[in-house]
Amino acid sequence: MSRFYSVFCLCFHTSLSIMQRVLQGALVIRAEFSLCFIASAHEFNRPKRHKVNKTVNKKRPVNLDFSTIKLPITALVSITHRITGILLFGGVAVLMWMLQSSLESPESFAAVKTLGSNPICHIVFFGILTLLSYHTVMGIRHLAMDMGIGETLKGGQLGAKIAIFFALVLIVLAGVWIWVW
Amino acid sequence: MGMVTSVTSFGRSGLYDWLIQRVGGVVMAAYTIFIVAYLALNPDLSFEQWKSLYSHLWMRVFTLVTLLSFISHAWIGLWAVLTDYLTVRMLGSKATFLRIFAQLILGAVAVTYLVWGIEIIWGIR
Repeated sequence: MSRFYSVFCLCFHTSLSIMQRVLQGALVIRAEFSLCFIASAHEFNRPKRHKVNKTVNKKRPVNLDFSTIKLPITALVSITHRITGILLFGGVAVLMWMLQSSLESPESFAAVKTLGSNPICHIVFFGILTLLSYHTVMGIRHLAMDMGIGETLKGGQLGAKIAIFFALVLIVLAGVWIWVW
Repeated sequence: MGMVTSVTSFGRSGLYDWLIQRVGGVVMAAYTIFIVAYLALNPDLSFEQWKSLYSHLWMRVFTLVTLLSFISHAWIGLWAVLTDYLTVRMLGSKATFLRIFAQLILGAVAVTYLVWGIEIIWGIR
């Protein structure tokens, strides 16, 4: 009886410890499974998030698309002030050549005074006067803005319009001077 | 890049550049108005009259000051344009080299204008 009891106890203990192990194992497995699940969830989410980022990167405006932007009048006036300035750096060569010729001899003076017989000379001189008129008027606008006149958005827009008006008046006068007068 | 940008400016400081560019602009505007007014008031201008105008010392000084104003004004303006558009962000690592090269040409043209201008005003016989 006692032998039987001890075998039973051993079996009971063994089975209990096995059950305990199994339970523990199950817990471990469960824990591992949930860890796995979290990890796999991360693994699953990561490429997904990456994909989303890629599409966002593509849509993000890294550079301004100038074809979709209408230049405001102040920007237009500013960029043309720069362009006329760059062109005038070359245009001054023509003006200096005209000054040199006008001071050389009575013949070359007469040629400069009538701007030559070639109509292309007239057009080139008109072009230089156009650049000079525009650049000078826009320069005066800058001086006005340095003194605090027309520094607001509305003031800047109005100033640009006024400057364009005066530049056009001077350009028309230059044309009249060359071809009519 | 920042050092290379500032060291090639005209007055070595933005405030000097700003002032020189504006004073130069006013001088050039005054010279232009003077010449246009002179030509408009003398429609029958003769070669002798024109030559005698440029033989006055004050006219030669006025012309030379205008020429110096033009060179400094153009240097400051074109420096601003070059440092705005020939940048590393826009053109990559070659930008600084390209800009210095462009400024060398700009300087050569500016000096040529100056020497040529002095020849014109002091070459009158």
